[in-house]
Amino acid sequence: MKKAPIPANEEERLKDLFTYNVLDSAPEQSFDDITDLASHICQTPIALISLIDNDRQWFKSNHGLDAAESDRDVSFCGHAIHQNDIFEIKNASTDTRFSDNPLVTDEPKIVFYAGYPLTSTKGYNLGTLCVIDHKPRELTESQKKALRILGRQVIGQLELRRSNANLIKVSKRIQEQSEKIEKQQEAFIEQAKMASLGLMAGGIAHEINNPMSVIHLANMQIKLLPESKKSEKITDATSKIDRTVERIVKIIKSLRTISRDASHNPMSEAFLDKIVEDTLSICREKFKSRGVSVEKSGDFSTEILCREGEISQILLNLLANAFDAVENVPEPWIRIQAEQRDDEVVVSVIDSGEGIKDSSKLMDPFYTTKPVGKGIGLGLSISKTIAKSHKGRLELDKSSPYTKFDLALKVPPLKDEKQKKSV
Amino acid sequence: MRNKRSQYEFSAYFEDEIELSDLIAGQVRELGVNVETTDTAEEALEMMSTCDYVLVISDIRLPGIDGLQMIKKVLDSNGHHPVFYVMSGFSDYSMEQILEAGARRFYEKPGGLIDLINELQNFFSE
Repeated sequence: MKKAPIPANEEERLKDLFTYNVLDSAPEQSFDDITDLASHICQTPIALISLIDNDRQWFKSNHGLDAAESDRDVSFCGHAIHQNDIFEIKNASTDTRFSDNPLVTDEPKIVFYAGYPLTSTKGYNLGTLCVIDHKPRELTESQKKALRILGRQVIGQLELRRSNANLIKVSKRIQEQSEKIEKQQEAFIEQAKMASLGLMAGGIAHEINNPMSVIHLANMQIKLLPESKKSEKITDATSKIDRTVERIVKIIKSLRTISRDASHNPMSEAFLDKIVEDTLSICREKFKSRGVSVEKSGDFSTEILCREGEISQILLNLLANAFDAVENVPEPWIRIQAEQRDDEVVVSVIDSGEGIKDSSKLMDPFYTTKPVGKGIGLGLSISKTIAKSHKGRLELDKSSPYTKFDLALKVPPLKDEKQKKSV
Repeated sequence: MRNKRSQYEFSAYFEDEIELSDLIAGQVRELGVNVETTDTAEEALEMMSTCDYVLVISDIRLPGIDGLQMIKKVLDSNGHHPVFYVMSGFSDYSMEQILEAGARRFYEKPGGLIDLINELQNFFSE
């Protein structure tokens, strides 16, 4: 038996074959139609679309043969791919190249073979369209013509299949890019909203401040009235006005701090307690109105080196997330705690929510578990970036039984230590 | 021709908060001092170019002009230089910037307004 030889361009040929991504694929009607037609026209019991792989021949379509593949060494098609036209063996049992081939001596007992090489657009012979019989014979000229036509159809189908697959790949990539762009657009809108919220906060602060000034001065005028002209009710009312003014002024100051774009400002020392209180003043009423209790615990007396507005933004984001997490739990609470550790202070925001199931992508941009419309998942990512710009960290404490985010910030050295260093 | 006003006259420039303007001007009139007011920056500059005011009280945010620029313009000119007391409710300028521009005093709304009124008493009793 003569083994099917390996073509000189085998490496390139295989590379080209693999680009069709067809090996081991499921049967397809368009290819089965071709082998059915070949078998009918050539009047053979067997017709195959055979592709020559590294060490096997694999059948994309199989008419009349109970096999999916066979060894390359014994394949007739392995010989046929060396030809440019039909490779015909009229009687394999008397042909010295094939007479002792197991495919001849055993099942499927090939006697007649005619295979037309399937030539790719790059010029490589990938396999054959072949017809097989169990008796000696030869194809007529019109049968040979038909085999050639059908062989070209097989290549056409393989090309179409490859183009479709590429189109699907490109389409998927376009879809992914489109989704990415959409998310980026949402992010820009969100950022623009936040920027305009900042502007709005500034505008609101300004708009509130003047009427506040009027209330404050008018109240002062009443308080300066002689005692004889004041009733107990007026005294009580003016005290209330004083306290309310103080509360609103605090909110205005917090809005002002948060609305300023401080990202280019230098860092300065600020009391942690003030930052936390300023932030809480914005959201305390909302939390209270929804029955969510907010507690502070630990030591907030330290000074930190920071841009106040940015730290406030981080805390506001953590508090907003905590609020969303506890909104529907039976005992909703949020705790802010501070702990001094060596040269840093760790401010933690803890909530009684259901916890975070998968924290692996928590700080990634656009990752969110919130329902549509409740945020696009940029808050933690931005907060983490801000913390990093402060040479600090924002992390989820996985050891806590509750959802606990830790914001670690540097504490500047004590003033007397600074003086010692400068001497 | 410049209008020489008596030392008891000063102009107070407020922004569009008319009620606040009335309140503060009212407080000052009770000290026996004349007050001229306006709510636009253009008119404020016009008034200061024709009258030698002893004291100008101005909000840092004025419709039509940056309050800080207005102060600098007046104090950099060769004309009369009034004393500037500046009020600020919400501004991009810090107290340091406002004082550096030439204002003598700075008052933050709303709490600082009472200090302003007390200071005016001291100013006009000197």
